[in-house]
Amino acid sequence: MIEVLIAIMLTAGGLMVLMQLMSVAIFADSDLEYSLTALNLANEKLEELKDNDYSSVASLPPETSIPGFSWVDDRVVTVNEVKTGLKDVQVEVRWTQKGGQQSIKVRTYIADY
Amino acid sequence: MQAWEKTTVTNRGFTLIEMIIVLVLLPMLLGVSGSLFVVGLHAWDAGRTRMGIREDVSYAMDEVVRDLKEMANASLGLYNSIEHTIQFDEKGGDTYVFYLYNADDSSFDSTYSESFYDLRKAAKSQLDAANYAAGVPILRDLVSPDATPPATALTVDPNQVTLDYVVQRSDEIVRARTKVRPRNL
Repeated sequence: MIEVLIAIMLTAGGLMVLMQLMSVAIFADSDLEYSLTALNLANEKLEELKDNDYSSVASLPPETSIPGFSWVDDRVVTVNEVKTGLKDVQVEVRWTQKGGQQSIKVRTYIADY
Repeated sequence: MQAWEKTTVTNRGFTLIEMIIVLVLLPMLLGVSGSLFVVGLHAWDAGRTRMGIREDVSYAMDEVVRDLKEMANASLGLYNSIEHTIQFDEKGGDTYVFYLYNADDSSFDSTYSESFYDLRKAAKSQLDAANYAAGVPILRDLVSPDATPPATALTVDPNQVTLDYVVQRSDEIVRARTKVRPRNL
């Protein structure tokens, strides 16, 4: 009797580990998908900024609603003029996943030429 | 006699109650783990489908962005005023067009009545209404721009291109969007 119960417990344990591994693999895929999409959205904002006049490139209030991407919490643009004619531009896209906030940030410099 | 009694005790089988417990526990365990396993397999399958879409979308995004960033000069626009097309001069080469293609579409115009389209790239010299399938496919299974709500979109502003890909395979939908400002404008 005891041997059978031990065998059942071991089998159950083995199956649990297998399923845990599957879920880890699935969530790893999902993390990558969100990161890549967020990177594209950050690049989108950078390209918009590059299309502006140098003088109008400035920090923006957080964009809390991006149509088609409801999972994104916000997109923040931070601009600092590091010296005359050169601005440091950072775009951060943030989203909530697995109970915590994730983010991706891209950075470039825009010159007044 | 003593030896016989000892043998009987050592080789005793399971009692009825033990067998009943095992026969109840084992199917319950197999049932629960089996159904969890099936759910896991479905999630795994969906994950693999999404991974395939994501890889294709990522490749198509890189391909179009690179071409547009490196385009030769200010030749950006629509092909024959057809929406969701991008015409541009390739650096050191021909004029090319990115466009949406479905073999069942009767003509090459701005009415996207089919459910899904391929994104293709073709030399402008090879592309016309009669030779709609020219060029090479870059991304498949894009949801029609005329779907509800509107899905895939390739839009050209004077200086910028917006690439909004919505790809669906099985029940999985992946959306990716970015903008490109060609460097030579």
